[in-house]
Amino acid sequence: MILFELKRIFKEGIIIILILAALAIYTLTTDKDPYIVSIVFMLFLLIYASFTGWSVFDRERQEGAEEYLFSMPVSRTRLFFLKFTPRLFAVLLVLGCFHLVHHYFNFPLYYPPLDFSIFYISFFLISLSFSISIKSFVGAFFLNAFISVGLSFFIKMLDSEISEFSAVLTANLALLAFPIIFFIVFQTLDIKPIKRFNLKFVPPLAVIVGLLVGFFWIKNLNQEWRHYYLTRTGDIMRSYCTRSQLIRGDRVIPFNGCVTPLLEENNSLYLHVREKGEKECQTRRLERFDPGNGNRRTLLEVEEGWSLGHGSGERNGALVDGTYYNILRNLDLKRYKIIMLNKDGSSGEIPIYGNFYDETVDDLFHVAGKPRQFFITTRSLVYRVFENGEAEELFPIPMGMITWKDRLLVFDEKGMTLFEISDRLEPVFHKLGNVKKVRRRFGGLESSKAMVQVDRKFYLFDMEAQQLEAVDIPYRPYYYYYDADGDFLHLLWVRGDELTYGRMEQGTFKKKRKWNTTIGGEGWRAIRPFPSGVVVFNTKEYERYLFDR
Amino acid sequence: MIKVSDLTVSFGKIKALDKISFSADRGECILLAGANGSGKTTLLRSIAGVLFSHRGGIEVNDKNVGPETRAKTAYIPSSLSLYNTMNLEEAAALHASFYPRFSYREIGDFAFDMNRGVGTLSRGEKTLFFLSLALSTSPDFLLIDDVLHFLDPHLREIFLGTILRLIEEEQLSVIIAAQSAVDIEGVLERVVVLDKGKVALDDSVESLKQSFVRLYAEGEKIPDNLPVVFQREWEGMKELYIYPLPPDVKSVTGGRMEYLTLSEILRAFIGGEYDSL
Repeated sequence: MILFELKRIFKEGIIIILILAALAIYTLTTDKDPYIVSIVFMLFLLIYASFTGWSVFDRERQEGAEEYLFSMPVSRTRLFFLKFTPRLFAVLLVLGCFHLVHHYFNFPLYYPPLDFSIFYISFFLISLSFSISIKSFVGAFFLNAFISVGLSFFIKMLDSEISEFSAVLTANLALLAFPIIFFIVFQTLDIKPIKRFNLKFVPPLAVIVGLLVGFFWIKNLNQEWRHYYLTRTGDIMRSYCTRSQLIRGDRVIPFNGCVTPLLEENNSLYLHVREKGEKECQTRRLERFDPGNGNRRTLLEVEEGWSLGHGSGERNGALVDGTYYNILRNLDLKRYKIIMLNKDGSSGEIPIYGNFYDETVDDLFHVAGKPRQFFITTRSLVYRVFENGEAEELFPIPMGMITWKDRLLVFDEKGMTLFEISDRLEPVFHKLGNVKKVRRRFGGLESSKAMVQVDRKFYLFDMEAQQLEAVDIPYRPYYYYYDADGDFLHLLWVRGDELTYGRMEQGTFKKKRKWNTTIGGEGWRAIRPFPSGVVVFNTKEYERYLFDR
Repeated sequence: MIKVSDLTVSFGKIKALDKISFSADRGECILLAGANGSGKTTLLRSIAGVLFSHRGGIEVNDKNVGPETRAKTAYIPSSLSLYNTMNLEEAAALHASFYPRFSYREIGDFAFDMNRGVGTLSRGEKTLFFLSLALSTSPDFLLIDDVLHFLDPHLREIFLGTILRLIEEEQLSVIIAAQSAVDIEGVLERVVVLDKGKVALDDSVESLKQSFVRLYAEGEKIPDNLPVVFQREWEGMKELYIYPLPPDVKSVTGGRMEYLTLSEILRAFIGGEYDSL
């Protein structure tokens, strides 16, 4: 029976095979745009796959041999596989030849080969499912295309950040239900009219399609976002696990994988790209991204097993003289290394040696000194690492810490101490008393002045001049930022759902704005200030409040 | 043995077979008769395993119908369903691929040119070729669905001769579905008549011939409880077909009584059905 089937498949498909061969030769030899022909080529491949699947019982139907076949001493299961196996072999053979031609002769493809292969096999299997129900091949092909392509588009439409490959794979894996149901119903196929078969076959299919559509719809409703970043141009980047987006006005640009900004420089973003690995999202690479023109450039491919720390919500790593620094960790090897990504595209790394291992290493928060020293925090300690990779434990995590150039301002229960970073940490200023660091600065940005609270009063402490300057504000701000260029002090207060922004120049408020966020604080909510504004968000929604430029 | 128990087959709201019970032993030759639409083909298809969906039981050699029973049951459908684009050699090879014990058997002295296409055979030739294929698998049971009328007298003689020989020599059981017993009465042992999906008659040929009579009665009083299968009346004369024959029917009615041939008996049953519509 299998030999008969193979002969039959060859006879039936010979015309399409010859057309494919002619198209392939033309595509490889033409000087004209080959992609148009490659589209036609791929279409004929799909037609071949579809026809080979649909025609599984076409011969019996045409020649009236169904009754003969059903009276043979074989089970329906064996009969199914006697017909199915040679056809599967034929379509895989053609697909294999196609891939060989593509690989060795650089056959141009309009569609990625793996995506296309999924469509191809899917067309074969779904058309096979329609082999009994639909008498016309044209009808079966178009229904097949509608379902397979349609569901892929539907998934993509619901989840714009999903890649096309994922949408195609998801849709067509789900549609494997069709041949499975066909196989089940085929077990009771007999000489009764096709209507009887369809009564058993079509309702479960309709249910499956409805369930699939409903599932993807509901899945999309439950999308969550955890990380938000507001760029200086007011765009939003948000991400969670396997998906990310850049939102610019009404436009949404999806990214594959979890893409989170590390920091921003001159309207370019340093990006941390993670993708789903065996266990969870894994660091894959660091990139530089220009939201203006959409250019992305890979700065560093991260080896398997290495990952970045968490950093803060607004900043991760340090940028000094155009070089980006951060720390990578390998929890399996219990190793760390500092990476350096230079302006010219080169990169370097400094493995941290010795017994240094703390799986809570969180952040490389500052780089200073000549030779360079790298300041790292864990959950309990502050370290510095020298250029030779030697790590030195400095002190336990203090109540507060602010850095700027070669200055390190540390707050503890006794007061605050300013250190100058050199071979040693040289204390150059000390203030005893109830001195507290005021929250943190917008976007994790460093500046020469830091806001401190002494008892109930507020001051700006100039880390260069080592002087305190009083700031007349009624109560502690939620966030602040000192802009040395304009001598501005930006302040943000949050009270319940009310956000107040103020800008002080030379000790007086020049601008004040108030917003009321509708994202309530009763559930989980984050408020993140950035140099250009504030983002308030929970897992489902966000609001953006821009400061006046 | 074939054993059918309370078999019901429906096509939508139409019951093609309605709780019929029937059996066939090894070496029996049974005529399955009935008007068009009485359920003959449905019954044979159910036994052959071509039709699945039914209620009730069908056993062949104590096994439920399935691939194993289909290996021992050869079925010649009225559609003579074969692959018309194959030649005879290919068709035989395909058939052989399903049956491990296949050994091609010619029918009588009739030899086919195996390079001929199946589609080029006449109906009669196709019937004979189908019989060749069927018998080549050494079946225990042969089911023939209303194909005898395709055969000319010569081919029919070959066909029936072969069957008779196999019944005697190899205990082949044969169930032939036909509307008449012309030319085949000599091979039959038993008759089963279906009427609207039910068994209207199941008796041996010998017993049937002895207990099925035609009675002519003119003006005499006819007892109400006479088992009349079918009756006609014309010009004051009544023609009654009676089965089973009560011992005292002639003395009661005083009419003229005749014994019938099998064909006449079948005509009466089938004619009776149409008249009652």
